[in-house]
Amino acid sequence: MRAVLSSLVLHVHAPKVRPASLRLRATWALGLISVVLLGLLTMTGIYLMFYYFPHPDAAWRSMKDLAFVVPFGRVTRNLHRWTAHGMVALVTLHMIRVYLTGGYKRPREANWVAGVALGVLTLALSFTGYLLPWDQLAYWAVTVGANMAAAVPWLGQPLRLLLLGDMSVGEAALLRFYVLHCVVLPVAIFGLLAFHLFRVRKDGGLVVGQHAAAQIGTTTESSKLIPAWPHLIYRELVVAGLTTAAFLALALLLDAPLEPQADPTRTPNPAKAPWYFLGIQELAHSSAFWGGVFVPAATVLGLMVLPYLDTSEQGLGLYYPRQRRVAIHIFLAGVAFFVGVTVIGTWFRGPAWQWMWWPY
Amino acid sequence: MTSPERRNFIWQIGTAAVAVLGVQSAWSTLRYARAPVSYGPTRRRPLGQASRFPRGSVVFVADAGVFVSRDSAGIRAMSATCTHLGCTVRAQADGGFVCPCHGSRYDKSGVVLSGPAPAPLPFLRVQRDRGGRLQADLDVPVPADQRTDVG
Repeated sequence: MRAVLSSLVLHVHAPKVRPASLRLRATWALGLISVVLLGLLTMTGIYLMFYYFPHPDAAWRSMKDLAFVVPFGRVTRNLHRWTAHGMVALVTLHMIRVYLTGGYKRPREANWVAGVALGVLTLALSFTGYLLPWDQLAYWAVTVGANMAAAVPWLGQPLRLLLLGDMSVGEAALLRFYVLHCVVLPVAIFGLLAFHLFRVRKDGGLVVGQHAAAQIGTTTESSKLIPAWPHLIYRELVVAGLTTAAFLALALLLDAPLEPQADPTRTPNPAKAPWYFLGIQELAHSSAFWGGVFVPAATVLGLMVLPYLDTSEQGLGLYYPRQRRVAIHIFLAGVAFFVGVTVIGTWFRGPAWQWMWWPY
Repeated sequence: MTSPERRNFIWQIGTAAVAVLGVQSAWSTLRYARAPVSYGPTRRRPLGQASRFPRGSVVFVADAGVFVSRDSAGIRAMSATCTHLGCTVRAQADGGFVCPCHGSRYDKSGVVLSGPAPAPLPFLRVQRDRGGRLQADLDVPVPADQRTDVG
């Protein structure tokens, strides 16, 4: 075990790294913070499992017990909820950073695809975890989400049945989401993360500016390499500590929401998904298929094939290089579109999804 | 057969066997996950006695998720599940219905007036059991003009 652990710790990074990799602006530590949040989610998730019962009669009560009876239960659940939100945000920002610096290009294509898959798994973990408190928000967000899956041509109804295990969200769905959330998806995300980290090192570390890239392997560059320990690891430990402290403070100050127990007969008005799915909900307002299925699926597939379409190798490692401005503008327009519909869904939609001029 | 050819042949057989096993495993997993086992409420939902629904009334039966209306021809039940994304619609003062999730509006017969709903609210088969109690079958849509005679 010790050999495995030390092997893992010693091999995540190369023994020596380029000084450019240590600058904060090289990555803004977004990938590292995502991994730290995954660790926090795993730890708090295990604690929550001791008191959580995945059944409609008991799930919501478990939340109340955690909030009012279990010592540190409230802060554990708060920490789990806020780190889950944080991970979605950080993984997205990490992906944007990698795109802007051209980190998806050769030889990192496979790792970019793995990263996109990790992003999808992060959202799947959020979606499955959302049902578990069994409150009104959970029930109706998942009802809407599962019915979006039903909008897939031909496969929609079987897919929905596969996901829910029944004709509507009920105890079968709760159990399935629990197993997916606590076993299947974490195993998948940790397996893929191992591959992701392996490829980072295998592909030559971080993508760096062209000037530095041209020098890789030369004597000049090799002589400038510095040991990962302590220079890199020390910085990573500081970031991990600060991240944990920040989210712990948030968990102490702000309670995770818990609406009334799920009532399958009464939909709240308005019924809103978590913020990171509100963009899709806003798009689905026009059409369940185009907004809820086509746009998200096309976005994920488009991101995955991107490195095989955009093969130019200019301007790597820079944030706004002249050679990549068209690609960056197209990408930022896509990001702005998703941010825009998310903002509309969050603040400008009120009861019955009516437009509200004043933030709702 | 020379040695490299034999090695290639065995490799190809092995690959094919793994592929067949993989497809079989995936298929079995999907079959397993789609087993016809349900612990949820039955799809045939009780509505109660006909006397619960006076003539000219529209009553929301929450446990069944239907609006039951009664006129001189009999009783009919309309699904309260929005055909867009499955939220429960709410009755309005004008007799119509509105979905709280994305604002689809229906008239009193369930016809879509506005919003993203792709189809009208379906009417469902209503039957009487031996004790005279009514029940709605959520899986059996019927024409809008079909009533169940309750005398």
